[in-house]
Amino acid sequence: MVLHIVDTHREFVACLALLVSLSLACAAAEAPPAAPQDSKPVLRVALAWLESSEPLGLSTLRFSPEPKPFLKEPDFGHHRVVRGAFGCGVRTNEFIPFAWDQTANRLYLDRNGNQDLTDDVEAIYAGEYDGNFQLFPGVKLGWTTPTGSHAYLVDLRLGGTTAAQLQGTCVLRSFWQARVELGGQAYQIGLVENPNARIASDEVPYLLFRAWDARAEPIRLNPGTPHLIRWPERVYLAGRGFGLSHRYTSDAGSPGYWLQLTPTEPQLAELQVGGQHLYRLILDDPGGYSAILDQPGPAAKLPAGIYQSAEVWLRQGAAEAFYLGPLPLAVGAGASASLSIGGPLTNLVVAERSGKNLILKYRLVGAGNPALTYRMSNDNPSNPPAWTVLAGEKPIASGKFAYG
Amino acid sequence: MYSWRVPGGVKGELKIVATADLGGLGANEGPPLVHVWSGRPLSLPLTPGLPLVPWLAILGLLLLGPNRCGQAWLVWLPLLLVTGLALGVGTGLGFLDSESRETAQPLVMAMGFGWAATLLLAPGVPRRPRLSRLGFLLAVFGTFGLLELALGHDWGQGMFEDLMQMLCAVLLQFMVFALAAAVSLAGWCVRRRFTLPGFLQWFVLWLIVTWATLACPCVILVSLGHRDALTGLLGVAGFCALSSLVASLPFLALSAANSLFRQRLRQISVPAEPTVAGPIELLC
Repeated sequence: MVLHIVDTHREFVACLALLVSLSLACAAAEAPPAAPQDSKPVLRVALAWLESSEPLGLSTLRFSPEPKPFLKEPDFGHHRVVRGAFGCGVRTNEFIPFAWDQTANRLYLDRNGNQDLTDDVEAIYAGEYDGNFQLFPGVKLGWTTPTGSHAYLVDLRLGGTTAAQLQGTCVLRSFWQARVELGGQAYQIGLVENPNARIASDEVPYLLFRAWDARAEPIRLNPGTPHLIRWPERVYLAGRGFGLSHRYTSDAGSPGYWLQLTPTEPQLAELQVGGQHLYRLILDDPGGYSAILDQPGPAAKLPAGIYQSAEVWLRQGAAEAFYLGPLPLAVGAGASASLSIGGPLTNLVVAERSGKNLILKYRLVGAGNPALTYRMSNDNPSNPPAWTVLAGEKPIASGKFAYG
Repeated sequence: MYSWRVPGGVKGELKIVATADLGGLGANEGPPLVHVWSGRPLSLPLTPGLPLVPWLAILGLLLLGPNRCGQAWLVWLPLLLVTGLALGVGTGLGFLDSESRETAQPLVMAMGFGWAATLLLAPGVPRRPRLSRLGFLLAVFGTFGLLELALGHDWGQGMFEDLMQMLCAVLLQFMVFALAAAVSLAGWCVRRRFTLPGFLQWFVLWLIVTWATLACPCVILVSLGHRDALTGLLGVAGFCALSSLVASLPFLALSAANSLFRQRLRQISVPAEPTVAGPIELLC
């Protein structure tokens, strides 16, 4: 009995020791690697491919001077069909053969390149007329860039009635993104690619960063969006500094991007901003950080640096206005600086005499002195700003400013 | 940007206000800009007597043999009336903007001088071939119209003044062609029985048809593009046709009232009968 109790006790101690060892081993495995600047872990984010409702870039297509004839084609009947091969990207000898049925407004791609147009069932696209061009929206293509083979969703615009006259463009409609938590808040982070990149460092022109709740907003490059930032090597976002890099892996079956955010400890300064309606301020220091400040308060923190340009985004309900351009700001570590930016906005007119004419110019300016000149995001060319001339209190002339 | 042609009578302090919907980012109406407009500069032409040249040219035509009679001097009446109408257009028609008014004024006056010269030179209309009558009308209307347009006004100096002058010159060419065609075609329609009311009816009809024909290719081209431009084009065509008619009516009224000018109108518009030979009798 005593012996039995001792044996049982030994087994218990052995199990306990094994459990403790395993726990220690697991704890050691989960511990963050020692970072030279900081004990905070490097954030590696796997990005997922997503379609965009808005265009994210434009590339001109090139056409092969001598496309190979197809061995097998669908029955086009008496339709007007133009055959060719188009390409884009760095590899100038890479082309996708196609047959364009202009009568039926259909595009047949030979994606597998076997000169058989009847076996690419998912590569037949219906088009629509777009002026002198035919537009084929939502075409899935693969190009080879310096980092490997990439898949893109594009809108193709094709023109020309013969193979020799072919011309066209492709508009990028896809990007990569993921959800991350920073400082207890959820964000959408990602990147936009450049299918026409010649070198690997040009492959990603834009960083996408916005609140997760704002992820449904369309990303517009024209006239612009507050959510895309020219790709920075160092970025200050969500109140933290990071070194930023990306890596593309084209492993079989699951090609994709990894985004790496390496924490840094920038020396901080204080920025005093007094304007209204500030939605986002992006300051760019060419030798340092790109600082993204969301709804900056009267005393926002940012990395010390010599900032040269800025994007100022204002929002009120559905209305959005922005300033893009130079905005010199030098602020040292621990120092404080102030910026004259933000709303309310004011409609101004500038008048200058030219002979018998009065030249009227429109300006939309913000608060502060000197005030920045803003532009509304939803400018409607058919309803430009208006002007009225009054002699005393009586209107004697009125009109609308022309855009441009 | 907008270039506003300040009307001639405006002087003093002007308030200019810009408005745009800012959707809550600021007030829709901006603060007024105060601009003191000192009025138009009293610019004298480079050669002081230059605006008199078109008038002296008409005076010179009155010295020609067929015009050496008292009745021919009646041509001053419609010419002065057209000038008065043109100056009235420049100030009176408030519904037109200042650019339109200042375009209409020299065009109406140019057409008036064209009419006066044509009627005074009517005895010289070639009788054969028939197309030479149209050539005569184009040449006389065009020459005297352009003479008045170029020398009769102080266009000022500057990019906008140059553009305005060029625009008026181009419009005048179209108006001369439309008017000459309408006069010739109306004359052909009443060739068997020439009456002033009949001529006037056909003249108005052919003026409309000619302008519609001139505008048609432009309308087709423009309709492929911007809809606003189409409205503008039709507006310009209607404006030119109306200006031509306004400038023509006083001369047609003179032709109705005076036998000499009725004969002159017939000479420039109605084709000569092939059986009739010899010089046209001048009623002097």
